[in-house]
Amino acid sequence: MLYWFVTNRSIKIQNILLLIASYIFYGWWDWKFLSLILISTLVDYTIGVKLEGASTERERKILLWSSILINLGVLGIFKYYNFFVENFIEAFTAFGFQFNAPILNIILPVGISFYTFQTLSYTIDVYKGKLAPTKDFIAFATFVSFFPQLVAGPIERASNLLPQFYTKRSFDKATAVDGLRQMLWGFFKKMVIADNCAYFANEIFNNYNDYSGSTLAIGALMFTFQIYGDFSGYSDIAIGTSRLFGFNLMKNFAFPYFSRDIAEFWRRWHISLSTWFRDYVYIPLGGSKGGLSLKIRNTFIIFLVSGFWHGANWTFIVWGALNAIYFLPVMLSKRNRNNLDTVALGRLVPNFRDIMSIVFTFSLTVLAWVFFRAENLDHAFNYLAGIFHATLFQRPEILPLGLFCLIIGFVIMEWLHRNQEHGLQKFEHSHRVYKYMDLLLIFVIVWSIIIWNAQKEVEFIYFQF
Amino acid sequence: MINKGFKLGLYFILFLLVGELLVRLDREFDVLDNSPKKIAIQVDESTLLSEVDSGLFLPKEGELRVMVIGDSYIHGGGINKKYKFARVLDSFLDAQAVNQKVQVLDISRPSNNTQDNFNSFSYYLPRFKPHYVIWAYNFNDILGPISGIQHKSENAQKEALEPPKKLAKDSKGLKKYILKVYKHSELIAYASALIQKELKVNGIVLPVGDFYNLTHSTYSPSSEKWILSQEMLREAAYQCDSIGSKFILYQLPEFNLLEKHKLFAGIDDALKSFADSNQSIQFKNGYFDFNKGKGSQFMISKYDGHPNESAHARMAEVLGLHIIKEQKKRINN
Repeated sequence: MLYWFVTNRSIKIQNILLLIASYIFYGWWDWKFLSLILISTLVDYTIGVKLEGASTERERKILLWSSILINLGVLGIFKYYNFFVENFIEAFTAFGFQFNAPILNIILPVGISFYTFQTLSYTIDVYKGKLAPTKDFIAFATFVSFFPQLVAGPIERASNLLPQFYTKRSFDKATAVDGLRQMLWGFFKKMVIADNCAYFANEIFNNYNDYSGSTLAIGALMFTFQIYGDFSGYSDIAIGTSRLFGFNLMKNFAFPYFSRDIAEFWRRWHISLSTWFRDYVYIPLGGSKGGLSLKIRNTFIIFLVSGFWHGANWTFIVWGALNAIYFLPVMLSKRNRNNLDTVALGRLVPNFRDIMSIVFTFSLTVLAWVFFRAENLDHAFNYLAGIFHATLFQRPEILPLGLFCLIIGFVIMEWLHRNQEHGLQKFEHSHRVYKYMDLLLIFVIVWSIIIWNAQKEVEFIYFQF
Repeated sequence: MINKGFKLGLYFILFLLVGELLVRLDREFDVLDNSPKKIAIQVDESTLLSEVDSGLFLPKEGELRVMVIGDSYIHGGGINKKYKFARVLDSFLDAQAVNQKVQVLDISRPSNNTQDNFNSFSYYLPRFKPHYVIWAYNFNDILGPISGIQHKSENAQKEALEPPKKLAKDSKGLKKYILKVYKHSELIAYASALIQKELKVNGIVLPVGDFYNLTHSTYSPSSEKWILSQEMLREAAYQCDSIGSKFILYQLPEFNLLEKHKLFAGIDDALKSFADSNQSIQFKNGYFDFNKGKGSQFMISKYDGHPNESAHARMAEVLGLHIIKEQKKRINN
């Protein structure tokens, strides 16, 4: 109300309101970490302005690397310092040397990986001349800390989001309604699907020794839907909220579990991060141009870095490497751009070949998620060994049939909307019956959230990255 | 305008009907029944319990035997079994009691009420011959079938299970239909429970429902269930006394409502005055072990009263120290 009806006369005042809201939102978690966002904002704003005035290429490069070093330095200290120190100590000890370094007792600031990458994209784009540096500090500070996507993305490009802070935003009822629908779908994904799956995934992963292979397979499946519901649910809430404020954020998930090969999966999963790495790491390294060894090297680099971005743990690195191994055969056989369209477009049911491809790709991702969820590599390997055991064909100890029914309903909804922006987007039908069915569907979703939300508060997984 | 209002009204009714349908569907099929909240309350059978059950256990001289009775709160519902009260108490006493083998027998069971606890107690007391009995009393142990020491006729039991019959008043017209809907609607029952749950965690109790009855009338001196419960507790303490065991009645707090404990004032008073009137009972109100610091430290969830690992550890420490103190007294005597 305040945004649309009180401060709507001036973009500046609207931006200030958003900035205050964003800082309160972040400070609510821990106000001390607001200083990190402020440092990031000040550094990149100043470097952006200086880049415009820099006369030599050398000076421009120094400015660019200053931004990269400061941003990644802060990220490195908070997220990776302990990991490196612990591994150095282990490695040196293995070779019989003594290596001592202090372990820092610090917590990881929420969303640091997201806003660091967002500000870096600004400086790199300004350096490359793709974007003019901003002179509007408030707009830039709001771009860095924009509350709907601050803690778990989508990682916005400055070229997409920053200009939206300069232009007048007008209230559009249809956009706002669709934003609300997307938020509702996000809440359903998070509170009904992800949180309920989390109970089972946690129980099974934490006590994997007590369960048969079939139960462990169910545990892996539960985590597969947990992480998707959790992360894409947050993205839907963030995108929907932004639309209420008149902003368009980039799409972050495009129904990835209907992918027919792993390359398609990576075009549809966490799109904002994948494209970030593609544009700022993979292509500058040479991309898929060049010789065979260069292609393999670049593929491994991008997947390993992507895994490491998720957390300072070998499990994430192995998860990244496994995805690189999945991806390489597709890329080397030049089939990585085979499936650019939406699966079974114009048809209700996919053909047999598509079904087999989807099931195969989905199974590969389920196995990879085991590494992502495991506490350490031992845990992951033991868990996988537990799945591929004779007990895989025995009746599982845990069989959440009710939850399976909810998941099936959820998958059907996603399937029907696979060519849309989100799983609850309204179909364009003029017939009255569709209108009532749509209304009924909304009611069912609202009541499902009320009745079947997991009672215990479960945090969004991606907040920790 | 009227048309629009009428349409909105219809939509609202449709919304409620969808809710009613889904709540009924949930009640009928218990959609999320197989939840780990229940899985986590699996019974943890110890080797000691199997030994006692099979009659292979023989109480030995120089042992310190402790028997733990109660429901899922003390059994460790929702937490990893290695952190549950009985195991932590065992380790604690093991570390403290020099030259004595410690045996902690956990006969607590999820969903037990006072009657179940008394039955278990009567079965295991002669077989295990504990030096200490820790009876972890939960305020809702009074619910469910309670028939006391002497089993009553089936009819009397059935009567006790059924809610008191109310005299139906004659209502007419619209009021009659509204009352009918209110009485039969699963959605209203669900919403009312949901609202009460939310209000309860904020320390507000509406004068309807189980929780209100429990905290306001079930522990009144004339309540039959409370009279029978006291009878069983008194009998248990007497039986302990007769074999030289100490009977510790530990009143468990509701761990998600530690900061709203005043809701339980009536129950506190009832239990305290009962315990004060019986010298064989060593009574401890667990709330006083947790009233310092933040309540959220000790709960599993804000909507669930079960204690978490830290709470189990603290209870084990408090009761372990109490037992050590009592042991010293015994030795000195």
